[in-house]
Amino acid sequence: MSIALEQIAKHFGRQVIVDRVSLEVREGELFVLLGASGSGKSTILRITAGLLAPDHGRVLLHGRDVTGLPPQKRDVGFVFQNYTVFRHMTVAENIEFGLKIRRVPAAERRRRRDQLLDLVGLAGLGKRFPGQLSGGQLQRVAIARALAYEPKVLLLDEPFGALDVKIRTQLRRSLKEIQRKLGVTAILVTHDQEEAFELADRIGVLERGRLLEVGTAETLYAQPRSLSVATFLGGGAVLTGRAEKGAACFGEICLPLPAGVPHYEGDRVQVLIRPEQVVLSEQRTEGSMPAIGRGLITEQSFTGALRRVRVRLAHLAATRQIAPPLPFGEEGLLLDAVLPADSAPLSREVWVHLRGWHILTPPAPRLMVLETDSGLHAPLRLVRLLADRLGASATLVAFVETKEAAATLRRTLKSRLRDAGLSDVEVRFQYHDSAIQTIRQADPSHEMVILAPGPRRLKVPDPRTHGLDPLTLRILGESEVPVLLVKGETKSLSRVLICTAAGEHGKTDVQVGGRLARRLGAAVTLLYVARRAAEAGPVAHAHLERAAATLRSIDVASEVRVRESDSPAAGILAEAREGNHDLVVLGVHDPGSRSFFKIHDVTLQVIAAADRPLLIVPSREA
Amino acid sequence: MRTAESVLAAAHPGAPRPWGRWGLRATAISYLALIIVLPLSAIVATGFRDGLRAFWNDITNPTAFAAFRLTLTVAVLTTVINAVMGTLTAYALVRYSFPGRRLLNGLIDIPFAIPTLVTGVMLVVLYGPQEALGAWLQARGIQVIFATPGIVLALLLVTYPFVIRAVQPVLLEMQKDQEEAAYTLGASKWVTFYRIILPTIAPGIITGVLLTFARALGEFGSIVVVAGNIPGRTLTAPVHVFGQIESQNPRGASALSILLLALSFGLMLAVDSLERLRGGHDAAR
Repeated sequence: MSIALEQIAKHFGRQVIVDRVSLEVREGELFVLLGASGSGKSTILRITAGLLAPDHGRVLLHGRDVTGLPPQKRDVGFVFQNYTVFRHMTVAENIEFGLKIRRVPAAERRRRRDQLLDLVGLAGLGKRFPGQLSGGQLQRVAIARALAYEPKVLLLDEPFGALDVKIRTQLRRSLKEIQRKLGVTAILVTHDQEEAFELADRIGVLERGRLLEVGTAETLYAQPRSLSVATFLGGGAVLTGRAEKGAACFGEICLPLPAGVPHYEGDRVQVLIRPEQVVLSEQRTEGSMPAIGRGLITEQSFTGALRRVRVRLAHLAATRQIAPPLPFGEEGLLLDAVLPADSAPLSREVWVHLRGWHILTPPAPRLMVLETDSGLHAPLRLVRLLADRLGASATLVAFVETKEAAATLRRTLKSRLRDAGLSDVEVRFQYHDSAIQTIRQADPSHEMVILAPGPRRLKVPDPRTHGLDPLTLRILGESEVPVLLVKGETKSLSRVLICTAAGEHGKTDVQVGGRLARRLGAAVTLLYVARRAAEAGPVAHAHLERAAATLRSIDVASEVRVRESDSPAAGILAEAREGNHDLVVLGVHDPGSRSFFKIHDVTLQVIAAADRPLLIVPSREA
Repeated sequence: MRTAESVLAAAHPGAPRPWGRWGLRATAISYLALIIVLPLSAIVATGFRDGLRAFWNDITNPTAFAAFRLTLTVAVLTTVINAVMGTLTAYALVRYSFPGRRLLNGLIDIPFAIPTLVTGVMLVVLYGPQEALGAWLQARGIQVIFATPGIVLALLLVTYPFVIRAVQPVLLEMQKDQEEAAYTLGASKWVTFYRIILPTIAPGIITGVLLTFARALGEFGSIVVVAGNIPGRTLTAPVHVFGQIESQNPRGASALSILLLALSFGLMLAVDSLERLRGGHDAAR
């Protein structure tokens, strides 16, 4: 490997700029780091050059660890955005600068300089001063200067950013040619997708300090894995539908899922449709191309070679459009298409067919494990079990008061993680006061939050909190994703008890519990606890039947149980004990009362008294 | 019968009337003459009133010459020290952020605000032989007040802001990536400083140096307090000139003044032409 970055991390203040980025660039490759401004791309480049020190991680150039070396010793060429050509030197002096410092003899210097001037297309301009050159020429000088001492690595930080479009295209072509000719390994940073596509052998897409995907332009464009990459590179629509019988379904329309895209029945599926995959015609065509409906052309624009058309389609059942963003009040679907500019004009109403589509890979499940206390309570055995069964990656977040505490805790946690066979778990530290904020921010990307309720007991237990510590309560109140509270000892996860109660609107808990059980390969029991015998009759059974149907729709078989008990909480716990269930799934159903002390009373009672793991599922607004 | 001029004026109703067109220039020129040229000619006329020989005698008389030599020495010394320290201070202020940077930046202009006489008094009450620090130094054989070190200290204080304020904007304009570019090219910090930073900020330094030197040549208020004004030892040229005026010798005063003036002016011209020479290739900037 020519350039290798290992787990590079950098933060300024409390803001994370680069978040554990690992990257390998091959010999002679032109690698482009693509990202919006603020994505950390320039920071990564500066860390590679040695102009910034990473907080964490290593930089290897040709196998040599250069992390601690200053830029002078790294042997890299760097081209900055605002042509940093030295104003008081001639073009020739600029190019020779690096050679002079390396004490290259004058004759050799002159030879290299003339060669480079020729290479960058500035032959004969060596005696000029920078003030007499244009922006494009200045950047050519900068490139020549960076290449003069034949560095093994060339780094370019938005080198064409300050140039106008025409010169940019010319210079891009020259750069590619020069890089090929010299075979120098290069990383170029840009926010311009077109530039990345044109130049790159491979592209790495960055978002908020994370490296999302790496691949060739073709792969990233046609087969992105994540939604962010799909929408960042190129236009097109992203629709969310459901997986049904090996197809992605959007209302009535089902698109076959390609082989190798694992999806569980009933799961959400995201499909990416690029504008050139949309075919518009006056008549519905029968054949291989599926039609997704009749639409109205709402916008047309002429771009030279192509005509861009936006078509509005009627809303499809159980379908949500993610991109392009729908304007407020828009109910239908918006699809973009491109046609050759000279194609026959279409009438306002057209049939929309698809020539192709791409299913986005569902993100790998991620678990967030919270360590709320001294490093001794993270329920690692259960985490291991879940991570293995779900194929999930886990992040352990520990809350500390001071930096010193973090250092001690890191050691404790590292050894405990190693003992639990979880050495690949990423450990992060957060200050206590930012705990809730962390939960909120991390939520959407995590499948569940796992924590063991803290052992701290208040001297005078507040009856409303049932002896639970405030942080656990707040997390339960604020989390948008299910919270797995680990109580008791767990050796397996083969029996899941899902508790339902009459009069509840949502069925999220049934679905979440059912899906988890399916992926764990666990047996599911649906429980209804009735306070009175009368309630245990037809009402309970009707309710349970609906729940079982919900489970059947996602391919999960279940057993149903009705139990009579004066206290629902006691009933649930007794059932769990008697049925030897490994996990109890409970919903928090009243969105209006989810905050702090007002979590469903029954739920709190169960949490307080439980002797086994509980999955607390927040209700989502339907 | 209309004159040709009034025809023209009628044809271009917007054109200013002749007296208006010339009036402004005439005013500006006469103002310049009144304020600068007239006094300048007066001093030259007075200095050479009795011929070249008398002028030569006036400036070579031992007291006058010693005063001139002292002034030149302390001015050069002050300029060199403040050029170096001022450049460093400006660099630190621009490139590094440290606690108290803003406060320091604000303090720099204080010498401009202090009347120079007060500067002299400040030094006397600090280093004077009756004061604690002055007495302590005197015991160790170092005399500050009524000696050359006092003069230099006063000049350093009075001219402190000039180089800093001249270099600061140039450094601010020069982005950090020029330095970083040099680092990536293999230049050490020191090489980067004298090959990249110094040439770029040189115009700023030269401006600062000129202002410092001119000010040091002419400084009177603070020196008259701290120097002791012993002819032949601590009497500087401006104080000498003042003394000549006091003792009814305008010719002697003028002669030395002309010398000081010629020195400043010549230096300014030299730097200006140097800039012009260098500026040629940067014209398109």
